[in-house]
Amino acid sequence: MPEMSRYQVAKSTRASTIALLVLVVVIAILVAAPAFVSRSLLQDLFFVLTMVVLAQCWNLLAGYGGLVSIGQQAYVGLGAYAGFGFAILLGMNPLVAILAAGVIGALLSVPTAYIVFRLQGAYFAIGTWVAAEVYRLLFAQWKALGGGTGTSLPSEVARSVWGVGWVREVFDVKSSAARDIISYWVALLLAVIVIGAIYAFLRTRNGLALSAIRDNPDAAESIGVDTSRAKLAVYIFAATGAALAGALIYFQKASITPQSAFSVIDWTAFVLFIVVIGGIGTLEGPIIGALILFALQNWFADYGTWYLMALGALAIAVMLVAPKGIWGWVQARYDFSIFPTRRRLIGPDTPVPDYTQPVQEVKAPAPVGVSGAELPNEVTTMFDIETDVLIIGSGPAGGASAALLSSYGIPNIMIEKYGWLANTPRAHITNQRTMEVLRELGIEEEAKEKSVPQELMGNNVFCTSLAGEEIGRLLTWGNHPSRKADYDLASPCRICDIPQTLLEPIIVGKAMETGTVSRFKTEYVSHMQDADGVVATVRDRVADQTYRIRAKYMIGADGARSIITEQLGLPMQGEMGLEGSMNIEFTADLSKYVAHRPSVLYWIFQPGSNIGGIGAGVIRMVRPWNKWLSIYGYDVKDGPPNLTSQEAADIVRGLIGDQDVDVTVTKLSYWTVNNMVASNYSTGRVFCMGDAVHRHPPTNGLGSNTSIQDAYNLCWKLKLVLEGKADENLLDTYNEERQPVGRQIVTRANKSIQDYAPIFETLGLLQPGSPDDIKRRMDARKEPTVEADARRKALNKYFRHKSYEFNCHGVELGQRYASRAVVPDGTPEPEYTRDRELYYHATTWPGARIPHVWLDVDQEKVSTLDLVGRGRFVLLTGVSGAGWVEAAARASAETEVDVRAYQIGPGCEVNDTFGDWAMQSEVSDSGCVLVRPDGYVGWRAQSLSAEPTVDLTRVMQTILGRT
Amino acid sequence: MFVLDTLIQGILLGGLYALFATGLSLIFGIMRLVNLAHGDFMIVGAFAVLVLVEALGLPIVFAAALAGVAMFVLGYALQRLLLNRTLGNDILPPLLVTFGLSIILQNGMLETFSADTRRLNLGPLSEASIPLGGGLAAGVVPVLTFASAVLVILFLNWLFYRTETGRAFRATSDNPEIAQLMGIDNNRIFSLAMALALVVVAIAGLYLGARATFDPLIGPSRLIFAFEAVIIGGLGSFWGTLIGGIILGLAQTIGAQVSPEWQTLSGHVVFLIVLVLRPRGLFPRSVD
Ligand SMILES: Cc1cc2nc3c(=O)[nH]c(=O)nc-3n(C[C@H](O)[C@H](O)[C@H](O)COP(=O)(O)OP(=O)(O)OC[C@H]3O[C@@H](n4cnc5c(N)ncnc54)[C@H](O)[C@@H]3O)c2cc1C
Repeated sequence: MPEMSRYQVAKSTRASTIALLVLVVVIAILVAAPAFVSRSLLQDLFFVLTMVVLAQCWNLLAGYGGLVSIGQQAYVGLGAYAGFGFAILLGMNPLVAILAAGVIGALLSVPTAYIVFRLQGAYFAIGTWVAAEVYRLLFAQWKALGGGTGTSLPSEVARSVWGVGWVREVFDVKSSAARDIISYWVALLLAVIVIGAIYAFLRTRNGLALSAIRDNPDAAESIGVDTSRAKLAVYIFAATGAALAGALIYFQKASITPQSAFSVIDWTAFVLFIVVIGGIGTLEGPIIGALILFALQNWFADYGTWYLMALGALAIAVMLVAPKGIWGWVQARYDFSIFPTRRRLIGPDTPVPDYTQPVQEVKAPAPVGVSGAELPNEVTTMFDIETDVLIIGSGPAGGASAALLSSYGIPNIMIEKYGWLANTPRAHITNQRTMEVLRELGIEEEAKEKSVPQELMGNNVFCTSLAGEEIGRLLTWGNHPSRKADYDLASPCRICDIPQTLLEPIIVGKAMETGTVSRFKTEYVSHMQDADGVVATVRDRVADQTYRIRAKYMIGADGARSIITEQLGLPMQGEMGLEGSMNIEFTADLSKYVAHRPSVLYWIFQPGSNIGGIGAGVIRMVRPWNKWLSIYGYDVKDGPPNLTSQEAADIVRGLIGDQDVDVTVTKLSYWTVNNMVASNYSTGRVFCMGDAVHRHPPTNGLGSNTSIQDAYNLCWKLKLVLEGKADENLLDTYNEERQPVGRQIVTRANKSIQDYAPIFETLGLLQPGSPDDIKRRMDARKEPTVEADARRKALNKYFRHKSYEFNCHGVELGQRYASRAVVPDGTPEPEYTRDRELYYHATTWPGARIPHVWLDVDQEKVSTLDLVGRGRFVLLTGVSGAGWVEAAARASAETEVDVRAYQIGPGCEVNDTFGDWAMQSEVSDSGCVLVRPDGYVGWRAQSLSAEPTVDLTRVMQTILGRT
Repeated sequence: MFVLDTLIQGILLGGLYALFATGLSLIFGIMRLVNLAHGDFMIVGAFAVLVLVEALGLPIVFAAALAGVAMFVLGYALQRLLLNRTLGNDILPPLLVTFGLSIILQNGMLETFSADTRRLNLGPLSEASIPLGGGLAAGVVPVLTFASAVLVILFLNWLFYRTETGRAFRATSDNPEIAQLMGIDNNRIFSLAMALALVVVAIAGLYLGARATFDPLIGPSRLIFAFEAVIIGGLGSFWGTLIGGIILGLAQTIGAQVSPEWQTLSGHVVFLIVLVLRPRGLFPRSVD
């Protein structure tokens, strides 16, 4: 996570100017040091300076370039050997030989890079090591320089160093001491040049790009930087630096062996420790680290192996405890930098910022009864009431099941533990597929009346507070013009926002109106199954009496804390209670902040709003623009905080950013993030659906939608089996078809949570700091710099990427089923030409939902979706499909299952006025599409077959599980 | 004859390298962790057997079994207490921590056992060989090594593809987040994997010590061989690793025929050639 350099420069100008002055003074003192320090101290300083050079080079590689090498000893050794070679064999002056050695390092690093760059990450690391080994083994073959045993620098070479005479005179020392002084100066010069060059490089476009790659590869690409070239440049630079240092070090040592010159411990392990302990990704860190290593070496080196072990342990400890090292710690505390560039934050445990959570359960948990425990075996024949289907739970899943079964004329009883339906507006986004179900039930209009329409849903705002700065906005839920068409084309229904508190009464009302027997304040306790049915024990909580209901099938729609799934022992995969979050319902007139940008969700990024489960504050519209729900996190480890209304109102006012606004908190509830899906939805005669089997965060708004669609899939199958028209094995296809959807949405909802991480990261919200720090980091993107530009672009991209949560049309209605209740027509699955999550792909391929097109029946606009459903199979064919119509009648008679046929086209009962069906049906005029009661294509034929009745009957029998 | 002999020796040496490499490959496959202390753990394994044999007088088979158990526990604890904390998007922490471990282990062993070279004595077996006719012979220990490598790989493949644990391994390696969603405790799985890897490492250590001499500081060079075998074979397949080991073994044996100094070098060269021509190794696994 990048710290914003630009900003820091601005903030720390005074501090860093002073620091720079100090730096100049320090360098001056260092240059003059030979005049007043002892020779041994000078040798120590030489050591420190060379280590600084190596550490800076490695830091550039790993800390900025992300190239973690453990093979830099290759270049130290190369430089050393090249230097010796030039000086001894070619008679070059050592000072020139050092430069030449640097050139050799640079030259050889290119082919080396060619090879090791083929490896990534950790394997790159070992690859560099292998390369170093190869160099070591090759130089051990160089007989002229002593082969495996190495060689010493002839004294005449040592003496030939330029300037020795002058130094002797000026400082009045022996020639060996004069050589030390010159080496020291060269080391100092090298250190200054290397640091200066890295500093300058990091501030160039390429350098900034490099930091950008490290922090965010996509953004770097988006500003058009060739990342591999920047990395190569860094690698060559680091190699050159190491080679120069190597040559210098070994001229000073005056003897060389392959083992020491290519030592991984001396030239890589120590260097790594220096950088990590000092602070990786900073220019200051390596300097501090070198000084610390030097101090440790001086005090403890006598302890030999123990010293090395302690050093290893120290580096491990620093990496684990303070991964930014000493300088990182200093920076975090004092926000100060001598060399202001951006810096690296290593491996932050990215807290997952999420949005409104998954399933919340606001009601108290029920006492759990043990399945069957209190029922003796023969008791399955003892009961008080009897019905066909017993539904447990009156949420979206249970309510929709009740309404659908009643609409099919199947007797059913629905029981609900509490006295009324949802008492807090959880689900709200109601997608097109769900609206289609409501349309079939005849309650679409009623739901629409109570809903907030699509047009008012989509200005998804990301801001610092409602009254504060808007960081970005995404047009959501199909409101972007380019997506509006996709949504409009896909369905006769519009997506809308209707709080669960308002939708449930509509669905349950319809259910009860059409026959469902509802028992409120009645709690499911346990059940038993036998070959013909289920006997459930339920408790009337008003009379505190237990009674038994016998049903042929039972639907477990008892929500996220399902005891039915538990009693059945359905295999659940995942975890519950991951993060804590609270809903604060309140009333306040916020029109002035929102009416000009109407939306259902407003995301608040502000200091403190990222604590706990949800990462950011959310203000969600319940009713425009005076009823609201705020979502705010708490640390799940501490348990729910039990706020007073006053405290809750303060949180809300903070999110609004206006202390004077009139806020009345009406309700407070706590809930947690869950991630769980059952790998099997049913056992015997009990079928579970809704949150009972898929529990996930509310991201994408898929929970209630999927629950209702689960019901739509199961209920017609139950109907046909209960009517004796389909085999019981048709019910197996419920699991085959819906479980993958459950898995898909649980995965999708979780991915959507993770997609917030880069936004928080790019805004600098993940790092701790005072409100000022955070504000400063958030403001960093406003600078006219390349880096800030990268940040802006990245942010833009991440916001757009949220379409996977907010415009995820393919996930909302694009599922295709594969099961025994879908009969293939032999054609391959049509390809997804666009992103399959974002876009719905219409097709009549068996297993897909029938595409929506507008048709005409008696001057009335009717959707394909209106022709199908209502518990019947429907066969759609064209003007030349009379053969199919007859076949449908016969197949109907044969199977006793209603197959209603429609010819579509001019002169037919249904007219294809717009010609869209012709374009979309994917079958010829004499072909047919057989649609199941849930609107999914069960089979299709390209053209009239030789024996349409035989074919259609066979297909129907297959779907009904009777073959 | 001579050529055949070289080939046989090379292949058998490959078995040893495959043993070196399997643990590395296992760990990388499951948790994308490269354990830079891998070589040193092999030496730890060899010393463990040595101590049990020399100090306690245990028969080598028992000693090896005991060392295996000890390494299992060590691996589990190491992963649970230390390495799990380093896993994440950043590759530096695991590298640095295992590098630090490597240095601690080397120096710890140096302190405990001195720099003397050692060897595990298998008694008469050490020198025994199986005549292959035509004057050719294969040493019993190398053959045992090779057979063990094959057995270890068979076992791991069985574990991976036939057991619940293996399923969890694969799920975690495919996608740790999803695995977690499926109720798999990644930390436990990782710890188990490291424990298992260290058992393989102990077996490798046993043969490393039995086939040649060892000292506290040779771990890193063995790590490099292991790494080369993995890369040559291609990531993700244990059989690939075996073949990678064999190729490396052959390269080294043939190189050694040219000149003893060329033994290691020719292995490296073959490795580099493979890297240039087939960067993903010879037998990469496209889908896991
Ligand atoms: C903050 C938030 C926002 C959300 N936003 C959306 C969204 O925009 N779109 C969306 O589609 N989904 C959303 N969801 C998810 C949605 O609320 C759930 O997925 C949905 O309510 C699940 O329906 P259900 O019928 O399976 O379970 P529930 O709605 O939980 O219903 C279960 C019912 O069973 C009853 N019950 C439980 N045990 C027993 C028993 N033993 N006996 C009798 N009755 C019992 C309960 O009292 C309850 O009434 C959101 C959730 C949250 C928390």
